[in-house]
Amino acid sequence: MRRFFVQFGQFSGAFLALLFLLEIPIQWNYKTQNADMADWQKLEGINADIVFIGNSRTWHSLDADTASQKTGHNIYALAQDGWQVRLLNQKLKTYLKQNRQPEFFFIQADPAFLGTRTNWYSKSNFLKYLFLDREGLQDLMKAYEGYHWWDWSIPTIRYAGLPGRYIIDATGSNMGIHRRHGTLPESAGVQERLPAIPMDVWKCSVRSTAWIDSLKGQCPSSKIILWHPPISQALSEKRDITAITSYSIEHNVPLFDLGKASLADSMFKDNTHVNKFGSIWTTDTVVAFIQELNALQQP
Amino acid sequence: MLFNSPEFLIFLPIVFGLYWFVTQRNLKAQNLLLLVASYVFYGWWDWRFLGLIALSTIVDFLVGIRIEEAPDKARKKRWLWVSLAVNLGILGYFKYANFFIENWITAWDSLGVAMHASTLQIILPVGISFYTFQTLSYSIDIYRGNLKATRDPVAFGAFVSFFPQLVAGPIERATNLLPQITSPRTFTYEQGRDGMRLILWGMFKKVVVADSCAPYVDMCFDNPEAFSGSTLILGAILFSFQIYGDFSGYSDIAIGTAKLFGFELMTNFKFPYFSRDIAEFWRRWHISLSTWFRDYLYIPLGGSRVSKPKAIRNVFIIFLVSGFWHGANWTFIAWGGIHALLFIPLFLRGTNRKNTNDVLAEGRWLPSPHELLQMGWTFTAVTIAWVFFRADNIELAGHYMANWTEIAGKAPSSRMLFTTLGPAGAVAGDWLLRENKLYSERKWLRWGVYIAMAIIILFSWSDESTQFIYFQF
Repeated sequence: MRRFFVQFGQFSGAFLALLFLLEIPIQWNYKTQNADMADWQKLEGINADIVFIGNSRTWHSLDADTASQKTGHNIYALAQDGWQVRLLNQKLKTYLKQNRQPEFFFIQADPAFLGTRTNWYSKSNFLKYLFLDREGLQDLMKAYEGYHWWDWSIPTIRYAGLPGRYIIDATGSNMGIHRRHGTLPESAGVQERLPAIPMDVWKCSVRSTAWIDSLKGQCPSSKIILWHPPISQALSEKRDITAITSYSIEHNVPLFDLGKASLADSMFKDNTHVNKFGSIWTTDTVVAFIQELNALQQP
Repeated sequence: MLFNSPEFLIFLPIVFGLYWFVTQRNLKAQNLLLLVASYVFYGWWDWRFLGLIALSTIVDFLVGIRIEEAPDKARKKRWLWVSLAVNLGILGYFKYANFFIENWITAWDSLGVAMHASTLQIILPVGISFYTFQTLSYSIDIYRGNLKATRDPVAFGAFVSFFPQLVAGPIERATNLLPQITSPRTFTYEQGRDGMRLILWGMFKKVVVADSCAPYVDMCFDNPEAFSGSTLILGAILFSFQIYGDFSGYSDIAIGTAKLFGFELMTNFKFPYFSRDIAEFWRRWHISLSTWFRDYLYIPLGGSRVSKPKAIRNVFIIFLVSGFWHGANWTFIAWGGIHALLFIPLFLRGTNRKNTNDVLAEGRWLPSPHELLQMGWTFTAVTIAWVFFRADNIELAGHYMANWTEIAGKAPSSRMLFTTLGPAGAVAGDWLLRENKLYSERKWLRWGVYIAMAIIILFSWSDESTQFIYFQF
């Protein structure tokens, strides 16, 4: 029995040591990666005039780099694929610790913004932050279904079933984040239309707008604008944004609604995300809107 | 409780610790622990069906004693019928009632008589086919005088519900397992080491092979019209590996876990895809079931020592019943029938026992081209039969294979092709294991294999634990 336990202990130790070794490149990249492409926490020195916050729909819709060049303003897209409001709140908090408040703050406000869902959404996107509780996400993530204590305490184990994600994080491959302008639309493979998100499971309505207040509350000196990225015609017919329009009227916050624009299906990669043609159209429309605002000083 | 679930990772060390460190000096306490642990293991799925196991246990425990004490053959037989009626009655009701009702209605409908009967809302208890066969073999062996009835209800309860093999086998014989339960066990390093190796290899086959094949198999069988013939053929091949990885993986984990508790269960798989003909395949696939049918059905029917027509009838009966054992669906019966048709020519030529050596290509690194051809043919035949096993109905199976010549439709994706790496790894591992060469004498190399397997399992592990296919039988 003793020999068995000794051998089993040695094997477990060797396996755990290997898991630690596999963790090193992830943590190394987390701390040191600070080139043109930056990670979530590398947000210092941006000081954007205009910040857009949202999920993958903001990410896919807006080319903040192009918009910055065309308007002459420093525009930053603080978006993240699959991240929800409570996580974006944390991200905004991190951004504001290192940068001044923007003059204009565009908050994505549409039914596809996953306000209060608690199921684990795109967990793979923030695996690199979990071990050692990077960015203080642990308390935040406990609220989500699929939370495991071992994600935080056992190295590498959280990459179970996700070898591709491990390679991306270990090699420091970027997640499409531009150092100066934040997330940028994907450039490759966007013409291919993906399978449609089933209409019958899509609840295209918003009941609570408390999450708008939570984001808005962090930027008291910014001018707030609600923005609705484009949406496919199939979803457009189903959408119900009564709560958002009511909020806009009651709080005197402008609503920049591109959801009502009837874009052709050829401008979407699926029902909720535009492709590169849709992104060009959206970016041009955003540029025109910002120019119309005419409230900013030319730099 | 699933072997590939976090619950089992906690359950196993607790039971192991209590078994070897708290109850080791007291055999009765150790057996009671096994019994309680087994009921917890099963009840984790649905505690309500523990009553069925308890009923089967009590009936066969009492019947066993009655058979032994009965003064004459006629009374012994009467008690045996009680066991058969209870066990097959439970199995028939929970597994086959709806099948017979539906076919009864269909038969009358085809004669133009409209029948109005509704099927029953019956949940199939996990593992029912396994433990009922196990208890049946106990009563039959006592009736035949091959075994003494036990007077220890706890030991007998532990035998029926022994958690490593309760829900998906191997289907143990009382003559093998019960004496081990009634004798003191000792832990040996070799047995513990072999147990851990089997658990690791079983997990590899389940997680890396079966679970990675499953989505592509489902994709092909759910919508065969959408795919080209090459994709559908690959889908069928992947199913061959899925069911092998799933079932033999479970058996390996079961046998390995039993070893940790000092038990030796019977071998259930001996590298079946290295078989050179169908007869050899059935000596290597689900051995505990095929030998059960051989000993308790085929031989009592006369086996091969009767006239040729009767012998052929016996072969058909054993294969068809074996198919029906798997489930109440004509697809399983067709699957059994196909195997019978493949077996009969060998049987008639007297070549069904030609390839009986356990180790193929012994002492060689590779099989000969002739052996390779034989293995390829057998695998192809088995794969075609698996299509019937996997399809929801006979029509779908026919439709699936009819589309194999289609050029139109989606070709295999690169991800689907990539998935074949798992089965390729399993084949390579099995090839080395057939001569015990997977685990080198050199420690660093052996440990390298262990750790590589553990890492591959980790990176292949799905968040959603998938059930073992054979649980449904």
